[in-house]
Amino acid sequence: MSTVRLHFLGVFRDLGDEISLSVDGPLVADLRQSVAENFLKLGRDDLLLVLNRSVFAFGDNLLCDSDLITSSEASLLPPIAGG
Amino acid sequence: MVDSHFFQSERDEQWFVGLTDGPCETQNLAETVTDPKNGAIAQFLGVVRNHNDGLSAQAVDYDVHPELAMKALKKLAIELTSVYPVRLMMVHSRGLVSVGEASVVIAASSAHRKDALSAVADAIDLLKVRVPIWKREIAPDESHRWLDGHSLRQD
Repeated sequence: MSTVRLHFLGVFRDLGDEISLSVDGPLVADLRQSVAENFLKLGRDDLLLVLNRSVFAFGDNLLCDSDLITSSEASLLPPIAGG
Repeated sequence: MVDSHFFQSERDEQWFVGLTDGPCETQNLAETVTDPKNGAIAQFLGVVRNHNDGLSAQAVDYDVHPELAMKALKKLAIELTSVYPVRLMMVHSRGLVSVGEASVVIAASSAHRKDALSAVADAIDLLKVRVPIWKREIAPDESHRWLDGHSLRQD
């Protein structure tokens, strides 16, 4: 079990700027699972679809779910809409 | 246009990219890409409009991941200046931008018009699907909604 400090961006900012999550496993997929469980606890089932289309950044690297968690700090990036 | 207008910026001989707080400055864009060798300058301004999807809007609040946005803008600038013989600049806003104000400015110069026009068109198309920026649209009654966009997920 590890702890990851997760920074929120875009639509996730409605939940605050960041959150600390316990992650049960070494993979980014495990972090995604923790986030999903947290959203359910908060009653924000509506964010699960967005979470599924979101990506995790560690520093300036975007990681896939099969990658190992490389740091105790990450950002959660929902679909982008610049311009 | 000077670097102090930006909270983050980076330049090369052929390109300039930056992020600015609030609306983008739209004056003197051409100066940034002027080159005595180039006879064409193309510009694009993305401006906040007062409606979207049938709803009224008074402003857009842009959220940015500065580190990743600068990395993506720089990569895009390098890519476009390797495809087109242009001098290129791209700037995007962070924070509140009101209706009529510019949230993104792009300019390119080239010896002849086609390269500058193509570089600017590609730049805005690719910026929208590569640079980590999000829009929170604010209605006249101060309610807001985050706009959906392009997923960066690749697995």
